[in-house]
Amino acid sequence: MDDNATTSGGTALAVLVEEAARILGRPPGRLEPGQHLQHDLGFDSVMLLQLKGRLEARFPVLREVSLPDLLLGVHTLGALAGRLERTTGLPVA
Amino acid sequence: MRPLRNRGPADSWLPVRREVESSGTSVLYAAVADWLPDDLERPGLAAALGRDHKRLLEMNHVPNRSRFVASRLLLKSAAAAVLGAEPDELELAYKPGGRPHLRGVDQLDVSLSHTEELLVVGLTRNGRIGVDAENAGRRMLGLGTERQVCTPYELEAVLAVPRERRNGELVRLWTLKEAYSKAIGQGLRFRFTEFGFTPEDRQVQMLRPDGTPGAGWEWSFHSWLVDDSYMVSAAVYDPGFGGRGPAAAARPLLPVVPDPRLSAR
Repeated sequence: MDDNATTSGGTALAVLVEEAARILGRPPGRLEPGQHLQHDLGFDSVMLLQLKGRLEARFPVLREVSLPDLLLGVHTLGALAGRLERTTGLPVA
Repeated sequence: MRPLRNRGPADSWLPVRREVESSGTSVLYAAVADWLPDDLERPGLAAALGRDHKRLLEMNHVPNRSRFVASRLLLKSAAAAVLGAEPDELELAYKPGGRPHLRGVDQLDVSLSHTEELLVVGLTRNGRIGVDAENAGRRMLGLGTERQVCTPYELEAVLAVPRERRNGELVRLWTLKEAYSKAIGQGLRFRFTEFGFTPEDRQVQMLRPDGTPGAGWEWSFHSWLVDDSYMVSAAVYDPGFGGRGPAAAARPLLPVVPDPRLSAR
């Protein structure tokens, strides 16, 4: 498990929200698990690449996972946190 | 081929029709503001968007809503002009991977992209097309994206570009890869490090990760700087079925596109 992940709340969702908020330039408190990455938050393909890069820095195991494998069928922050949990072993919440 | 500028619903479609008639393919671009209705609640928009109207209602991100509506109106109008139909007669549908197509229309392949204030539409009678656009100045370098986007050969080539043009080169490669993945209907479904493109000073070709040629003559790739601000790329698959001219309207189903990555392995 990555040390940074542990110190930032320790859950996949908390880390994801923190990194997504940085990319969006919004306070993490305004992000919710049910929000659609594209339709609600305005993520585009470059931002998704950026998010993957940031998450890799937190969870090195993600370097072995392709962006498609991480995102396929995933639309919301909560669903992506679930995918992260299965990949990294961190609990969602 | 150069992208054609469209200035809104009242603009002439003649240049687009002529280009599709002569070469089989046209890429056009427009400003979001030129195609955005004053009122997204107005009666008639549901009919104009068809099934996409339901998707619109699920969107809360205002800029995305605007680009979504404007790009669909532009695409349907452009396709209708080429096909000699009315925009409302056409239904934009999506394949499982998200690739758009005109339901029941096999003689014209379409692709669309939008970013910031720009809309881009690709049309071809020849086979398949994918288009992508990005702000040429958008920062991609140094964000951890280049390792996910580039083959080893491309990484070397990008680093060989003068520093002030390096980020722009990465944006160009990214839009080419997006355009190609849209053309074959994969979206973000495969690794972009599995295939690459030639450096900026050469005619664009697809390459294997080691830099050797990777796609056949059926594919052509193009990149343009539009409005001095946006990088627009197109990938066109033309298997040479003679799709140009009036006879093309009667051509049967579009061909199944082989994935050149399979032969590249």
